[in-house]
Amino acid sequence: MNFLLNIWEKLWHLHRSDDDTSAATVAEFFIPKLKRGFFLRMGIVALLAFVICKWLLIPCVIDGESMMPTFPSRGFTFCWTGRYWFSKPRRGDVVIVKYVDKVFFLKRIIGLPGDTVEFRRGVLFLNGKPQREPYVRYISNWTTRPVTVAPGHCFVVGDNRSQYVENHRFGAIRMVRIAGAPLF
Amino acid sequence: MKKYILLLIVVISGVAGVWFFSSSDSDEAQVKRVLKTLCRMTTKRAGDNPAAAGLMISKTDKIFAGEFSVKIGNGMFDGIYNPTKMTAELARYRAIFTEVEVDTQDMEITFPAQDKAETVFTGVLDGRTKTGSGVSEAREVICTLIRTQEGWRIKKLEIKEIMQR
Repeated sequence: MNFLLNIWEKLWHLHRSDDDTSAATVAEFFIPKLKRGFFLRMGIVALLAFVICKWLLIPCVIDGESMMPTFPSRGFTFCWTGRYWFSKPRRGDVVIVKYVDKVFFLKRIIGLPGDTVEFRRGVLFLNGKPQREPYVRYISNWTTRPVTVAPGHCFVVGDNRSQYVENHRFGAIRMVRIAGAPLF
Repeated sequence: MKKYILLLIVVISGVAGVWFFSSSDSDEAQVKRVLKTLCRMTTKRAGDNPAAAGLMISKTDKIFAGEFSVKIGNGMFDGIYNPTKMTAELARYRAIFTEVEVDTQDMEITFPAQDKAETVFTGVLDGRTKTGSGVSEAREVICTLIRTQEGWRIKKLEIKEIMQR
């Protein structure tokens, strides 16, 4: 404890002095002088962080098991909102869908406009043809009626098909609800 | 230098003010006002004066056309309504809740014709029924409005699930 106090005292003395030795520079890093430049830098960093986290890389906590094992529950990711600025969503893409303010769903696109999507005993049929889904690891027995995806919509579903079909939120959504894609 | 900065602030404030007042009575603003009025009619707060609430929901002719269609998806309330019938339905709906908050999010408005507006938005309902159970729902709402002599009126209201199976 005394050792730490001694180091702190030395740093403080260097911080209060006006010399420009490397030791003083290090001291200033840990205890910056409260000048206009410091507050300006702090303000710029805070503004940038706000802009990035509000509109570009939205931090998301994953709460739910619908995308397991691809994305575990209680995981963390960022929603990269620029993912589809210059491209369109494709089948197989994992996307983040806006439900209401501050509530998003993490789902995978399995159908695009014009596609007919149905499940028969756990197997996805797209336009009448069975699809291979290597990301689905758990056994599923889902059977649903065929749904044709309307223009401007896409069909999304989670990877965890072991959930009861009634408990799993999936279906056709408007493309504009796609907020972005997970960064990792 | 300070004089120029001050002048710039005054010019920007002036432009912002002109833009704000010119857009406050645009068609888009009027359509939003109609939908906000609908939200107010469907919102009930604990302690609301029943007489004032009754007076508010009796003015459905200020937001609905003389004849309009409703499609909610469960089939129970689907059909053609008039403002008088809608007032009765609103009164029945408000009687279910002790308090309920209805709001709109992410509203998109388009004008396919000069006298027609189409809006799509997320309708959010949070409340508590008189039996004590909490209700929290979100739906996609598609609303068609027409321009009448008295202003914009709702002609068609469709409510469906955000994710449709």
